Parts: sequence; C-alpha cells; structure tokens
Amino acid sequence: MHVYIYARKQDGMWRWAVSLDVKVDIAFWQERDPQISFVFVEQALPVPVAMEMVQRGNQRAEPVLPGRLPLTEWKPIQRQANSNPLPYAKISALPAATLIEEVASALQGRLLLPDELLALLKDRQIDVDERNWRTVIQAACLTKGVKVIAGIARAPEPSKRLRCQRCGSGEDAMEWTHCGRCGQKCAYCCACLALGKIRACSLLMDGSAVRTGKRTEAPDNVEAPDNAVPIFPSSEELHSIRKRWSLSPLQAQATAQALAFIRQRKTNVSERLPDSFLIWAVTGAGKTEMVFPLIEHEWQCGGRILMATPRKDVVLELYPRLMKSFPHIRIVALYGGSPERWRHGDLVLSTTHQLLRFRHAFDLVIVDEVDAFPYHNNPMLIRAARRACRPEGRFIFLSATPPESMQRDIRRGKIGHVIVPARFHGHPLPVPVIRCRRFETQRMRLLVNELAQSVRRGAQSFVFVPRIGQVDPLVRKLRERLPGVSIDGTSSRDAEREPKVLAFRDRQIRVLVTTTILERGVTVPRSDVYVYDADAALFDEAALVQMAGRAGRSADDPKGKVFFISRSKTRAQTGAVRMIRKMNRLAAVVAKGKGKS
Amino acid sequence: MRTPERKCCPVCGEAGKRIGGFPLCGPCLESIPWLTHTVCAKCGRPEACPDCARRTNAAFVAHRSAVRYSPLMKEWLIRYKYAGDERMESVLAWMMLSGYERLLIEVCGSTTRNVFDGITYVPLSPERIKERGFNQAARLAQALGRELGVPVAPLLRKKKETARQSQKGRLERIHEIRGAFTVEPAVAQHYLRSLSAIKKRQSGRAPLRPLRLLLIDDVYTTGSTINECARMLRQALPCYVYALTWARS
Repeated sequence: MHVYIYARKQDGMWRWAVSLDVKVDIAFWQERDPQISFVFVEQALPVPVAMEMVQRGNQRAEPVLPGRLPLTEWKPIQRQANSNPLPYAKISALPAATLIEEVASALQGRLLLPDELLALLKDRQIDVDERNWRTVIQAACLTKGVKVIAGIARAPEPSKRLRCQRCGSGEDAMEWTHCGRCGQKCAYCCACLALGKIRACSLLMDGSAVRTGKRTEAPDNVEAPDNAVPIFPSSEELHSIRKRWSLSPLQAQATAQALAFIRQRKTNVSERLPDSFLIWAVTGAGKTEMVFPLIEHEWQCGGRILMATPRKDVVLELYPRLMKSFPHIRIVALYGGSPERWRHGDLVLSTTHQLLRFRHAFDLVIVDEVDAFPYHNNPMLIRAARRACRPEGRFIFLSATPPESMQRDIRRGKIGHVIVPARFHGHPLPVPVIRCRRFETQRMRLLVNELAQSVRRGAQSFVFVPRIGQVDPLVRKLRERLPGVSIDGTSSRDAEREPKVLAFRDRQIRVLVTTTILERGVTVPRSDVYVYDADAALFDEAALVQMAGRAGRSADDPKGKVFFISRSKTRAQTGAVRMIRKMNRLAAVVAKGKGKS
Repeated sequence: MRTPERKCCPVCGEAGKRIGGFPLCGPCLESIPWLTHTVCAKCGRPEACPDCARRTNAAFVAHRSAVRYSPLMKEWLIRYKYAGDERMESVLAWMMLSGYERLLIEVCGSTTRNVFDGITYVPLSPERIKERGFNQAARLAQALGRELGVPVAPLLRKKKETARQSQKGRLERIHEIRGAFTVEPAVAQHYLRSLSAIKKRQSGRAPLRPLRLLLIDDVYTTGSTINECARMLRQALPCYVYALTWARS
C-alpha cells in the first residue's frame, strides 16, 4: 500500500503527516486557516518509508526531507477583490459529513485492514468502495479521531525493533520477503496470518478513539442521584438476582462480589484499584450462570460487553443460551467463518483470536477458562483480550484452575477474587484415589477391574491417557478384556469426535478412551474418571483437577469415582488431590456458617 | 544464552519434528500424494489422456508435475497463494524437484542437471501481483533456478486480464487464454544475447542448437495456459519448451 506525505506550517513549525488523500487534508486545514502553507510529495510512498520520513521530518524546523524527493509547494492564491470563490473551494474533496459519521461509528473500537474495512462497510450497506475509501477514511481521520497506522511499526530510536500492531508479536514472528505491493523487501507477521496477512506496508484502520454512545454509572431504570447505588448489592437486590437467574446461594454470593467489583470504579475512580477480578469456581459450579447478572448490569449501564472463550465449540454452545437469556440485547457471535463477522453487538461472544480485530471496544471483558490451551504460553491472546478492553473498563476471569502466576497475583492482592468452592448442587467434589503399581500388567489389571465395577454400577467411564498414540492400543486391549462392553476412543485427530461424544452422552458408548482434549466443558451425567499413566509430565495439576472434575457433575449422582493410575506418585497428583480436598473443606466451612446464621 | 534454533514444520507448525534434510515433518511428508508413474508421455498424466490426443500441435515438448492436485494439496496451495503464508514456499519449491527429476529421466533421458539453458515462468497481471504481493510461479522458478544453477528470466508478459482459470471448462479456457500472453521482441533479443554471452564465457563459443527452456507454473489442468505460453516463446525465440508444474489435477 502506498500513502502520501505532506507538511503544513503551523505556529512557525513544519508538521509532517501521512495522508491517504492529500486533497482532503488541504481542504480541511485551509478551512481553518486560509493562509496556511503546505508542501507535499507528489509521489506516493510505501507505508514504512512514509512513516520513517514523517518521523524524521518532524524533528526539523524547515520543510526538508532526507533523500532527494521533490517537494511541491502548495500556495494559497490571494483572494482577488471581485472573485468570490476561494481557490481551495475547487477541491471539493471533503465527503458528506453524514457519511464520515457513519464510517467512523462503524469503525468504533475496531482495528481493521483496508479489505476488512471495505467488507464491513459493505455489510453495513454504507456507500464506500475501492474508489472513494481513501478520501472518506482520511476525512474521518481528521474529524472523527480515526487513526491510520502502519501494520508493522518500528519502535523508536534505541531498539528500532519491529512489532506487529495487530497481534503485538516481535521480530521472531516476522518473515522478510520481496513484496509486489510496495516493490521492496518487506516483513510480514506469521503469528496472526490466519486473520489476513499484515505486511510492513499494510495499513491498519484504528477506531479505538472513536466513541459514540455514553456509558452511565448506574442502570437507566434506577432514578437515583449520583453514587446512590450501593457498591455491594443489598440483600433485596441479591434476592431478586437469585430469583431471576435461579442461582444457588454460593453462586449468588460470588456474583454479588463481582458486581461490587464492577460498581467500585464508579464511586472512587481516583483510587488505584486492581483492574481485574477472578471468579475461581470449582468444576461444575456453574460459572456461566454466575456472569449473567453482570452482563445484565453492564448492559443497563450502556456498556458493551465481551465474553471471550478459548474454543469455537463453546461459542456455538453458549450462543443460543445467551440469546434465550438476553432477548433484549444485540448479541453477536464471532469465530473463524462467522457470518456475523461485521455486525455490531452490545454483547459480543467471541473466540480469542477474533479479538485481535478490536481495540478499546468493550467496558466489561469476561475471559472464560484463562488457563485453557490457547492462552497457555501464548501472551498474544491475553494481550488481545486486554487491548479489546477500554482503558477504564473491567476484566473478569473465570477459571477452575487458575495458573500459578495468577494465584501469586491473588496472594499479593493485585487481583480481586472470589472462590466458589462447591458445585451448584452443593455436594463435595469427588476426591481422586491415587493407585501406584509398578508394572504395566498390574496397572492394566487394576484399570480393567475398576472399569468392570463402574460398568456394573451403570456409570459412564472416561479413561484419560497422555498421548494420542496411546488411545487406539488401549481401546483394543480393553475391548479384549471387557467383552460385551462398548468401548471407543477419540482424540483431537479424530474427525468423528462430536458424534462419539454424543454417543457417550447417550450411553451407547460406555467407556471412552481419550486425551486431554475432553478435559473441559464436557458434562456427562453419572460418570467415573480414570487417568491412566497419571504420572506423565503432560498431566499437570490443573489438567488433573479438570479431568477429575468430569466426575459426579449431575445432582442425581454426585459421588462419581476418580482414579489416578500410575507407576509413581507425582507432585501433580498429590497437588491435585490437595487442591480438591481444600475446596471441599472450604465448602464445608461455608455451608456450616450458613447453617448457624 | 543462545538456544538452538527451533525448526518448525512450515505446514503443521509443530516444532522439533522435522527430519534432517527435509523442509517439513514426517507426518506431513507422508501425506504428500506424489505422482509416481506416467501414462501420457506428453503431459505426464498418470492415466490415458484425452486432452493430448485432441491436441495436434502442442507447442511444448513435454510436461511433468510433482504431485497430484488432491484436496490436501489444494489446501496447501490456498495457504500459500491466497492466505500469503510464504513459509510454505520452501516446501513447494522442494517438491518441484521431484517433478524435475522425472522430467529429466523420462523426457531428456539424462540425469545431468544442466540440460536447460534457462528457466521462465507463467506471468501474472500487475493487478494480481498488487493484490497478492507475489507471483507464485516466479517464486517457484527462482527457487528452482537457485537450486539448479540455471538463470531465471521473466520472458513472458500478460497482456490481458483473464478471469480465474479454475472456474471454466476446457474449450472456454483455450479460447479465453489465446493472446493473453506475449514475449516482447526486445526482451527476447536481449535474452538471446546475454545467454550466448554466458555460454561464450563458459565454453568459448555460442550454442548452435536451439535453446531448451523450462516453463514453470503452479497447477496444470488442461494445459491451455502452458501451451499458449510455450507457443509465444517459440514464436519469439528459437527454442524447445519443457514444462514443469507443482501439481496436476
């Protein structure tokens, strides 16, 4: 992509700027000051070159550029006595104000490539196409606070390192190739390639500074003076929340705390408060229901809400539930290939990768399963979620097994948090039993015997193994030893995973051998869990807790069995057991306290 | 402290699974549908070929491809061409070598590597280059030229914009492609002069026989593009044209 550069003389100083369409700039500035002088480069320059030139040119008092680019001077012609039209009026470059307004509000909170912008505008039926988008966007830049930035920018002087402006990756993720667009060697970012290629010569349209609509401090229907809404919900309010969303007492307590966290900022903004909040709820506690009141509250305040989940499956599962619970809110689901990609939503349900297309768009960001696979060791996605949030916005994390770094932040008081130690049905979590056997045959015999018991009990059994390659051999062995029981296996490489999981839920498959792919989000009533080779390095404490959390999730069979079968006891196994015991103890204490009062 | 360079497979992105000497990992390597046998001696098709039977005046000597254009290969090409994942380039270029080998053995009957005097490729229109950022055929040709030590030259130019070839039938393709390419006479003259200069420097005298040119493209479907390009090359230069593509459908 090529852009133009120009300089205008203001207060005796020459200011260089990049422009998509210089005519718009001249018309705009002349309207303010008819005597303003301009110089510009007639030749269009590749984006990185233009950015560099502007940076260097701005440090001088004379309109001089490095290199030998010819400068053209733009002189305002003196108005003659009897010729009424101003010379710059001939440049009828500024598009209609309503069109600019429309485009700017469509760009609000977004970070898009030109192609994406055009697709968005087409979807919204705004009359901008390949021919006039430069003019319109440049006008929006000058009047509405839209920014046009380089896709990959160079850091200032000392480091001069490249950084992708969409995903924030550094030079490690860049490849240099010859580019037919700008005609020179040009870097591109490999990390966010799936969202459309960003090159050093690409432009990004940044609508982060555009803000239409206002967020109020209190819900619209509460007609109270400022600060009259108490931070912590009153017992009546709590009661109505419980009734409306049918929450258990524990869930309601956690919700109240999170609600207080959201409201806190309004009354004392000046104080430095932690900007994120963790709802640490055990597996099967009903995390999703707990955030519904928060969404409702934020929406009533006029804020935009984002719910980010790690996987597309979860988005698709959650979407109808949200639609049912919030028929009055405009909800948009975003994932790779989503048809609603360019819609505007007050509540956006999104996979984390899609967040890279937003910047400062939301007032409340809820991040589900922060410790799950895509976030793990991937700072890009956490960064994306943070950036999608407005600077004054709030973050809510949901997790059953928060990562160690987050637990540390809790201990240091950096993150507010609430623990929900019991499941929604109030029964304690099944505590895993660790069984160590030295030889493979012994472990196998143990597994087979226990599985036989589970089948007799009428329970569905998960068997987790660490590696994909172990699934099929184990299925074969188990079929041999347990004739008459339907046993199957699945993994991330299995194309028929969905139907198999469904069959397992319908009890057509009784024993399902699988990898960590099913460790989260799968609820099967009346299930037992076996972790085979639980001492594998791949099974860390969080994974083991998650897998153990598949057992006993329904109210009618809360006492599922969990077995860790391994050669030796590991820290992860004992840690997982300790964590589950701790949560159960905490739940007992809470329940007791309730009973007394 | 320096850590050893992590070698990721450019196809599946998995680290540390690449086999020495190959640009990709074991499982991905096994998934490539190589073309292993030839039935049509002209176009290298692995089954009886109605297109070559109907074509009486093919301008090219012979054509070979490296792989079958299976859905997986299509996916790879889309990633490279349209999504712009240029890390795939090393893999595709490496795969071309297998087709080149077969062209040498089956057509030229020799295994010395300097059979060809020059390599050229099917051009893209300037608009397409702007849109995509690169010409995939040119990139593959350049990689092959580097590997073989044969000079690569942009001899052909696209005169008119044609709609995507992949959407049309055989006859339509042939009609539409006619006159789409050209070789500028000046370019051809300059090319001949510089090639003979190279030859003189190498062996002391200019080559007497017609040139052997290798024409590169990404996918071969009916051969209409290749044939048209070869026709234009032969009109402008005294040459035999051999064609090599990455995949054939």
